[in-house]
This record gives sequence, C-alpha cells and structure tokens, in this order.
Amino acid sequence: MYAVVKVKEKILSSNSPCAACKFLRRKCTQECVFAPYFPPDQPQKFANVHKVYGASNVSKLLNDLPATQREDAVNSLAYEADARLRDPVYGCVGLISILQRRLKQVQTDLDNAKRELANYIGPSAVLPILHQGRFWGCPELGLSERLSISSNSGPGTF
Amino acid sequence: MASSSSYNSPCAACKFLRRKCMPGCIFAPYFPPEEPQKFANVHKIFGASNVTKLLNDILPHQREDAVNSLAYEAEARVRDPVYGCVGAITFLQRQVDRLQKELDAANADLIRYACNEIPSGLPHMSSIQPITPPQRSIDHYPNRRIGDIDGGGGGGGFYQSPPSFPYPYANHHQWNPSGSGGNLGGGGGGQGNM
Repeated sequence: MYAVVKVKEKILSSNSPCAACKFLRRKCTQECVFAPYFPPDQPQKFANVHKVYGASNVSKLLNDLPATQREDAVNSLAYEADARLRDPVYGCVGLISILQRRLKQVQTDLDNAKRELANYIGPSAVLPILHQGRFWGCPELGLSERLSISSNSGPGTF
Repeated sequence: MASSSSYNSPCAACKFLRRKCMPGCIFAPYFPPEEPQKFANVHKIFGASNVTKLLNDILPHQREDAVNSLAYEAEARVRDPVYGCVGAITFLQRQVDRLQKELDAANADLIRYACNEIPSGLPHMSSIQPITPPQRSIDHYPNRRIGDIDGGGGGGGFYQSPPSFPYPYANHHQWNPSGSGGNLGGGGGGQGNM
C-alpha cells in the first residue's frame, strides 16, 4: 500500500499538478502531501475539503498519520465535507441520527416479530435472541448519548 | 442556548484565541467558557475562520444545531483521525443490515407458521387437525415499511439495505442529502475496508 502511494505520488507530480496545488496555485512538488489523494481530474474533491477544513488543517492531519492510512482519511474527510456542504446545519451527523432511529425501529420490529414467533415455537427458543445487547449509538466513540440537538428543525436527539 | 456575557467573561473561543470577546461575538452564544474543549476541538479540525463563515451563512436559529454538529464531528475526528464520524456511519449501517436480515428471517418464519407449513410443536395441537394460528394481524411485520423514516419526508418505500459506505469520489457515487430523511447513498460498491 505504501509502495502504491509512493508510485502514485511520483507519477502525478511529474505530469501535472494535483488538484490541491492547482486550486492553491502553487507548484506541485515531489513531496506534495496532497498529490496522491487529490488527482487533477477530481477538482471538486479538494475544493470541498478546502472549503470545510482548510488546506493547512488537512495537511497537518495527514502529516500526523502513517502513509498507509492517509487515503482512507482523505476519503472520509471528503465525504464529510461533501455532506456538510449539502447540509450546512447537520452535515453527516444528520445521517448518523437517521441511522440511529432506523436501528431502533428495526430492533423494535425484530423484538415484536420474535415475540410473535414465541407463540408458535415457544418462548425459550427466542428468549436468548430477545436479550441480545442493543444500542443505538456508537460505543467506541462514546458520543451519541451526550449530544442533544434542539428539535427546532433537525433530526432530533441522538 | 448558552450565552456568555462578554461583560463578565470571554467565551471559550475568545479565550482560546486570546482576544477581546466583543458584544455580538458570533461564537459567544455557542461556546460557553465552561466548555473550553468544545471550541478547542472545533478549532483544531475546522479552524475558527471556516466556522465563522459557516455560521454567517446559516440562519441564527439554526446556528446552535450547526455548532453542536460541528463539535460532534470534530470530537469524532480527534478520537479517530482516520475515519472520524464516517466510522460511526459505517458501524451503524452494518448494525442496521444485520438486524434487518434477522427481521427478514423472523418474518419469513412467521409467514410459514401462519400458513401452516411448519408444525408448531405445541403439545395440544393435533397432527390431524389443521393448526389454526391465533387471530392476529400476521401481515403486520412482513408488510411493515421498515425503510420509512419517521418524521421525515422521504416516504420511503420498501426497505432496502443501505449500501455499504459510499465514498463519493473513490467510487463515483453521489451521496444524497440526509437532512430531510432522504435515501442513503447512491448505490452499493463502496469501499469495504472500514
């Protein structure tokens, strides 16, 4: 993966400036941190990321990561930036809220379906499944329970 | 809405930026001095000037939600610099997929029992007499539109498993806006390496 990154970097900077350097109107050097991830044929990707995060913030973030993780980082930043530009109030957090509600709904439906099944095959067959752990949030982030968004116009608490 | 009187003490943003917190400071209502980490994270990920521009571009009654969602994203990114919030989205999508499959299987079983294809195994049922299922709305769960988003205007349609996380550029898929409860993603084939 690292070798692929280095090859990409060399090819891109030797032919034409990357989308970032084109946007920033600067020379695209061999060491350009953006070049492997912002090809010149995707100008909007960098434009969005720059508008939401700023080039220097992205540069610092990438420099703090090993090269093997930078592509995923850039793609997730691009996704979030795109989401934020489409929905300036909630960004991709709106999607998290929707997914949490959907998860809760599916869990409720599943519980109900299994209760119905218990009428046919007996309660002991479904009890272990009914008591499977459930959560609506993201325990590894530990964020969802703490944040509440006013219900003026948004997706509600999550 | 938290408010910080600049007469009393500067807001968390102006404290961080080491500047005078003026009346009308755009940050003051949303970054109270007792939550310094909130602004510190937002500043680290987005930068003060980007946040200012964003807040100036939206209506005042939406700014609190915007700041809170920015703070949420910033904290997620600080905790997970590679995936940020997107890690949570992928995780939730997988959970929804998993539970939906279980629900589909349970519904299929319910239909089979209701149609008398599988013996119920209940001791009082005769093997000669047809099994009469309890009088209930057996179609309730199979026909339920799981995909409908409550409170949203999407209208849904029959639930479809959301695609795996779509990177808009790596796979050239368009992400549809979700703020009003629209569809998730533009199709399958997203990167599965999360």
